[in-house]
Amino acid sequence: MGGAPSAGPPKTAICIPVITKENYPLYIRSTPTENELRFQYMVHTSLDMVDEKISSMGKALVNQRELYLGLLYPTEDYKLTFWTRH
Amino acid sequence: MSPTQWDLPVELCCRPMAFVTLTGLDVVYNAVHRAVWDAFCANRRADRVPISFKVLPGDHEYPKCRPKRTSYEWYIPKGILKTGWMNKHLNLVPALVVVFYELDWDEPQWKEKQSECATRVEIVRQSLQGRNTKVAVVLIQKKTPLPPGEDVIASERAAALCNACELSGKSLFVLPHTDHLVGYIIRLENAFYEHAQTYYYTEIRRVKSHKEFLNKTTHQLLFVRHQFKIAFFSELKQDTQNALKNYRTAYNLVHELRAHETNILEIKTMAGFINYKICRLCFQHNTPLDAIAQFRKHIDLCKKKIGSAELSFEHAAWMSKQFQAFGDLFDEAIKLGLTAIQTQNPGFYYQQAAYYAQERKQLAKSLCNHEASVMYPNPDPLETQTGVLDFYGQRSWRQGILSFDLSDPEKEKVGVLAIQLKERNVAHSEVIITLLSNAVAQFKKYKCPRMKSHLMVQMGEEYYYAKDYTKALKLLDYVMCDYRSEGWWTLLTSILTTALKCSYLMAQLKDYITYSLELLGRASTLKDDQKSRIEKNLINVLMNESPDPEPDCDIFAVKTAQKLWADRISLAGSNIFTIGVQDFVPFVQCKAKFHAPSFHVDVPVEFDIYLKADCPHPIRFSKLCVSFNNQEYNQFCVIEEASKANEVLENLTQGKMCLVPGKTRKLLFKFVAKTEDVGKKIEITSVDLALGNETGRCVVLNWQGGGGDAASSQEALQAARSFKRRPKLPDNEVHWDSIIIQASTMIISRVPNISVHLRHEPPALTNEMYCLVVTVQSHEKTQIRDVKLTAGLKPGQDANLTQKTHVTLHGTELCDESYPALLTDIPVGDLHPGEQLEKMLYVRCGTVGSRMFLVYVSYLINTTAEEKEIVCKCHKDETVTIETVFPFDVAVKFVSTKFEHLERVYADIPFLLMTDLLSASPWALTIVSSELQLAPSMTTVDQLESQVDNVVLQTGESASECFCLRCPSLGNVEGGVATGHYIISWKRTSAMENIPVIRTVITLPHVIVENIPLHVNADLPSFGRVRESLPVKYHLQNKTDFVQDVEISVEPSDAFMFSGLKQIRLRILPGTEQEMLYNFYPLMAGYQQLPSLNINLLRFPNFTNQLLRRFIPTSIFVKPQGRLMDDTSIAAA
Repeated sequence: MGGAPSAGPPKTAICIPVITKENYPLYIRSTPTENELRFQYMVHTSLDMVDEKISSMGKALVNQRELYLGLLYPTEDYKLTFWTRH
Repeated sequence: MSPTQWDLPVELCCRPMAFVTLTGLDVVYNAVHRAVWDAFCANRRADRVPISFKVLPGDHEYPKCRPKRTSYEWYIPKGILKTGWMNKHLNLVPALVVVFYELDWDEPQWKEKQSECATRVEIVRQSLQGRNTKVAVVLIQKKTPLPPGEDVIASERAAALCNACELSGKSLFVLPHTDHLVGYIIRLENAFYEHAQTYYYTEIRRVKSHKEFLNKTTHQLLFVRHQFKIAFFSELKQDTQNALKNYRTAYNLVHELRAHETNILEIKTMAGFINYKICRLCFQHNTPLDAIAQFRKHIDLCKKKIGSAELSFEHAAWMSKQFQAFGDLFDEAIKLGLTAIQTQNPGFYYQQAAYYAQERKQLAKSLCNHEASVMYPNPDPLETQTGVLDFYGQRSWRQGILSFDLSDPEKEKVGVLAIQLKERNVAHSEVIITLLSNAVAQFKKYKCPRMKSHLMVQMGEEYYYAKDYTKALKLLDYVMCDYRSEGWWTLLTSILTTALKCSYLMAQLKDYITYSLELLGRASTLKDDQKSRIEKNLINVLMNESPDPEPDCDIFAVKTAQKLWADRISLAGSNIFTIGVQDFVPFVQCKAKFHAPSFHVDVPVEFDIYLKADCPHPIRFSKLCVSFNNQEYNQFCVIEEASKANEVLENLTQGKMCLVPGKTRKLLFKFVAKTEDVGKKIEITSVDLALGNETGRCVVLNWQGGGGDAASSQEALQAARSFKRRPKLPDNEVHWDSIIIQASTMIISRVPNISVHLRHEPPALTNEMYCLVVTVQSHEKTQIRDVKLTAGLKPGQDANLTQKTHVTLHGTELCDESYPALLTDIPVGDLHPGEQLEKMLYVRCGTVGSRMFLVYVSYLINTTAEEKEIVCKCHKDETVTIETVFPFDVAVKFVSTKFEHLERVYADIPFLLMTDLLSASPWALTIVSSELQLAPSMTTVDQLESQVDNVVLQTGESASECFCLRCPSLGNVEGGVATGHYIISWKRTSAMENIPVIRTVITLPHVIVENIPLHVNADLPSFGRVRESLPVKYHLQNKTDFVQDVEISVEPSDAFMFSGLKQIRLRILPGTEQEMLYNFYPLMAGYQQLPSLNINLLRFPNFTNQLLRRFIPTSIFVKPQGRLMDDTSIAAA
């Protein structure tokens, strides 16, 4: 997942988490100046959408190798996008 | 909650409906009028026209209309929208005033009544002077009117009345007070609705007409105001498309206004109103995406328009309200049928509203922290003369002032102070919690469990700030497990930290201890100094002292808490807390591991308990006990600080009770299992580790099963996937991750030391008494007792086998159905070391196929384990698979006396039954005897003696028998006639004398019997000789009850000359026989065709010569002529 401020350049990733398929965080690194706890909550809550997307894609996800889940949901200040891997 | 400054006004949020007032109705005292009014307002469902009705007296004074402005040149507006305007047009200024008047067409005092009515209309008109409001008259009549045109008086008087009242014909209505009141009312209100629409249309035109007088410099505010009014009138006119269009224009215009700190609140307020209207209409038009897009645009445009920094909490409050209002609109649309989705549902808007409410609280906290001595200003700058503001979004102390410069900075300061002091009284937490709980309800609905948990954490935290620690703890405790189960340790730690604060502030001992245990554990992401502090507090609590307060707690709350803790110490009572640690991640880890998955009963059971502490400082435990499913073992597995050196523990020193952080402590336990537990599972049901002691407080950590906690499975998974190599440890230490819990073990019987052998000659033959010799030899060092044998068909095979397998120890008698398939616990006595015993077992298998046989030998032996005398039961079993086969195959066939195969036999005519018995046994068989038991329908021609008595058959050899039988005529029997049974008595040739003979019964096939009308047999010698006479006599028997005409002819043959009747026709009487004698004279030697006899039965055309040939010979062997004359041949000639 990459989170980036939605308004104004430059759009850089400010939090990069790696999540296992059991949904626990393997690695989370965010810009040290930001509120890390808030990002963790944001990443964790976004897993609701990841779960839903993956379950709705089902087999198609595996077959077509569509690894990019796209924009998950817009929060007021950040954008969350997700990639998945087999 | 009472409406606050930030709530949107009711008149903005309602659906605007045309306003119509009804006058002249006395709804209190007049029943007819009451009924009319009820018909107007009752059951106003969606199919009725949208009108808001109000009953007013005829002389009601409507708001005065201000004189028309002729020029805008010098006019400067003081604000965007007056606070009273919407209400005025919704509830005060009607689109139509209806005057009700009781008047029938045949009224005798018509003139007077007409003039009274005209006066009433005039009064209404006076009051509405200057407005475009329409007036209509409704005559309430007692009589049902005649159809239009038929009542001449009515037409005349109607015209007169219109004239008197200055009404157009379209504004005069008649309401007969009859049965169909509601129908008339609906027609009336539809007519009113048309009038109202015309009125609002004129209003829109009127507002539009002002436009040309406006200029962009001084009348900017009016552009917005007029656009808003047009949109609002359009709504009243129910023209929502145009309303939306005009609101959109108004929205753009409001953002074109020059914004300054002094008017930014007014701009935002109006922008918020218009945005609300746009979104509402978009949802109403079922274009939710437009609504969302508009709202996003609105937020983007407004979120930076903070205004005065001193009042920035106002902006946060306004933002919060924007999100909340949109959430409400969204939710309302869903209730009316809109479908929302996981990523776009009202929950996000409530959540954002809560976020801004939290921000408002933060800002208020920093901006409104005036000292207690600061007094609320007097006079109140927030008060206005009327009690309300003139224009939406303006400051009460400078209403209508458009200048961007603050004319009176002192006044401004007082005003700001008043707002700040008022903000202090707002129950922020209450607002935030309400919004969060709205959001929770939405996210629950749209399958966002994690979002829901997150919001519940925020609610818990907000309750904590609001000092409602009980509610805070309840919420936090509820969601903790979600974060724990998914291993989000940073988040869990944050929640636990708040929970610990709550439990400290309420002095809730057990909760305090539980949260401390987890915050010290490996799942906690706290820094070591924090952990040290918590550990110190925990030790204090265990020593029955008060812990230090948690950091950043409210000072007053801490004071209360300290008192509570002091009370806890003085209160005597239960000081032992047992905490089940299975569902969280405590700072001590435990794993139990049996050394083996099974133990023989004569060997002690051994297992290790591994402990590891994750806290920063070493910690002592006072007791460790292990519980088992068989509680009798519990006593052997306890370590207690007070107890002296316990033999079951290796190297027990006082240091054993101390856990050093990061070091794995291994504790060995052993005990001897009970002999009753052989075959059972011994399971560790729990491990209890006590911290502290009974003099202070004691915490018992209780692991269910063999240890492990909420993080264990995840850690195991992670370890399995990891490529990281573990560092090498000294020999006596182990890696914690590599220890796998083994919480149960099986107790199995002692290893037997005997041998069991089976001797037999497979395969078994069906139904024979098959002999199985069992040899048991003891190799034990001491005598074995109570040796028992269980033998027979192994249980658990096909159930049919049990019915068809019988076992006995006595081979001399045939066993029948009553014998069991398995003999159990046959006592065979004791055996000395090296002694051997033999037992014969006979098995009778009734069906072919393979069977598994079990031979199970059990015995008792005295032995010792860990210097304890025990009696062990040992057993050894052997299984063998034995195939059962048929001993022989029996083939049966029917042949004619000429040994020709017969499909069917002929009544009364002898035939042959041939049996053929082929041995299939690999072992020699002795056929003791055979027997043919004929069915009643069969008779024998000669003696039925066995021809195979005492015949020994080797594999593949066969024994055949032949019996001559006859079947009397029985008429036509369906399916043939039973022949009887063939019984073979046999045994293995090798079987002992006393082994019984087995009788195998073969059911012979049925045979079809056919009646024939004529039977012919021939008497002739067995051979002929060339040129010697060969006499042949044919016997023709009539088998029917009729006289038969028979045509007989004899065909000549090249090999014979013959004498006798060549062709004859004769009659044979029923049941009698006719003989035909021929003398054949052979001409050639060899196997020769006889002259063929042809018989033709006139009654039975089916009787063919083919059939005839079955009974009589067709050829004969002719010997060549001898050198010497034979006497016999001369005699025949």
